[in-house]
Amino acid sequence: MTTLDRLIAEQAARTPHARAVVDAERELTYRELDERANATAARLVGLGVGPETRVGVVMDRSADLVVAVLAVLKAGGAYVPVEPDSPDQRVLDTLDIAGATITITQKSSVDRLVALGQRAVLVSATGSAEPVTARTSGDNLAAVYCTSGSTGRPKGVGCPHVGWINRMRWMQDRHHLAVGETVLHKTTLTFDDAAVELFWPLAHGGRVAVLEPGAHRDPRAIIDAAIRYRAVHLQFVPSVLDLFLDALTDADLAGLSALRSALSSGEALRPITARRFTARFGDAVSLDNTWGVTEASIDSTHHLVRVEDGLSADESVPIGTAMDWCQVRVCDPLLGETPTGAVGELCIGGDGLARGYLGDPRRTALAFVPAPGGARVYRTGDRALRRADGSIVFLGRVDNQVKIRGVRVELGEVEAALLTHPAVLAAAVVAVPALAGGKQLSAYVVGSVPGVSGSELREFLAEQLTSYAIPSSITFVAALPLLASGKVDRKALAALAPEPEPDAGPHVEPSTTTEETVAAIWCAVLGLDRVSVERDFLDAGGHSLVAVRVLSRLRQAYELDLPIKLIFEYPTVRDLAARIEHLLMADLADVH
Amino acid sequence: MFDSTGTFQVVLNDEEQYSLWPVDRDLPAGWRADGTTGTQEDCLAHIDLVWTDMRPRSLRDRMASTR
Repeated sequence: MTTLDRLIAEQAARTPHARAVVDAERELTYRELDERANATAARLVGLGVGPETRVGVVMDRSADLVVAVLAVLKAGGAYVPVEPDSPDQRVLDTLDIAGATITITQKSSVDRLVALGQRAVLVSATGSAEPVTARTSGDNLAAVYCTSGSTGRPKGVGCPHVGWINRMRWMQDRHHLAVGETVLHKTTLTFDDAAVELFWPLAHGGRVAVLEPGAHRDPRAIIDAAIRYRAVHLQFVPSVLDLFLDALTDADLAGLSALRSALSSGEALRPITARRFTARFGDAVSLDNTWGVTEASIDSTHHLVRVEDGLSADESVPIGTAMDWCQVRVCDPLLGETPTGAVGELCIGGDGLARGYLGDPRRTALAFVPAPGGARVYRTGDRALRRADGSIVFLGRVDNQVKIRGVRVELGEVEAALLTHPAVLAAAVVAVPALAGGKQLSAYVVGSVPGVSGSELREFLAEQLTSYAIPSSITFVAALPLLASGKVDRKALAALAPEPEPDAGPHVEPSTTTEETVAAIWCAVLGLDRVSVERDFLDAGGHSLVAVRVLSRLRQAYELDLPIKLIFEYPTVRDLAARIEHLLMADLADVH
Repeated sequence: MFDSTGTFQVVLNDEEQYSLWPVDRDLPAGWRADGTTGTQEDCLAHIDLVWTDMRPRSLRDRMASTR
């Protein structure tokens, strides 16, 4: 059984001069990628990294990130992705669960990681022709991915090479990437879908074009990069696919002439999105709707979206049938297969299964259950039914897990985090439809006296949780509604309209034309009647997808090229308006 | 999975991967009981104690022999 790094090394030997990785600053050929990864891997081996060693990767998206991931695999280790902008506690928890004590990082994060007790390693700036090959095989771990856990502690999924190799082969059998063709790496590394954007092209002579950091939810940046690099394949979560289709102009469509395929994954794909996609691209670009879990090598089913999917009255487009290397069944509570049309739980078997939750035999034993032939099947917790045509329809979760902007969030983890605040007596969290599409979290909190404000709680949560898991609204209530069983009545919570959190300060009206314009855009996008110019964007219900909409309206209003981070760096109407005026003045100065 | 209130047994396969299974149902081929029975919680507590190395047995053996 081979490994991902060996497949890439073999490709590098076949096509040493083909282009392997490009970002805004540099382009590396296969030989350069291979040699820089060798040099970096040698450093890791020198520190004791070998088969089964977990190595943190805390880096912004860049060509160096690709070198880093490959270097960890060459050294024999498994990479553990952590977003550089995660709070310290999250970084610590993730590295601790995976058991990583060495982390590859970038210069700007070295001090922080050392302070967090990690041995920090930088990517080598020079290459080495000396190959580094570890004694690994397909059943050794390639990566550890952390997912939300219902009891508060995340779970570290151990992902062996073999399942991912199958996943990459499936991509190649379907899409026939040719040497020199480009796949855009736009997905944040902490999503396992990012692995497809890296290992599929690199194992087949393709080129990985790296989208600039922070731009993965900026549809303009994605379109511009796809045109600039002549990308043949793009992957989206449906909420970002919607934004992409919103932003796409006729000129963009002409510019995307190299594009052949797109993939939607991570959340249910709605027929309206499928309809808009096929209306725009016709037969020129295929759209695959895929479904899967980290516990079974990223994706396990696929459905080629057809025109009729867009016309369906169903809630979501089918997730289709099993990819050829795995088995997917809709099961009854005794793990027998349900009849056609009957609702059951989706279970996955085959070569794609993860090893389990590292250091957590309990949750592994409960989720990975016995199957004939000494095999195991993974119970996904997803509800579904199989249609008469054989394709599977996703129906939601059996438990309290939700997807926020494509990321798995266990409501129990958010509740557990809220309850660690001394002023919180009880807490319940539900997912509600978001104005901008998709879902958002609403928290209901019973506070003690003296209390705590919603924004204080949000700051408190931001130290422990990923940004996706932080509730958009926090509503204080006298008591939580309970069912006869004593459990929280979540339906009663969801039926309560979440009260917008009262302003922390007094309402301040806009005092300049720019403030008026910015405030009007906020109100339109956030669904508010009015907003104080001193109100924080996040407190007003904003998040990154809403920010994209605010941004596109600001760009139209001012004809300025504004980066998405602006919204978060200047979080009030007053700050943002002042910044825009400053940029407008600078623009004028450039012209004269 | 099953009704979590029944009586369970701890089971393992040839790769020494552990799980649990209701005592009143036939075990799938390729799995054997390790002798522990009890509530789901009893079985999970036992698995927590004995499954200390999550690598499949074939991988453990190979890594030990190529050391």
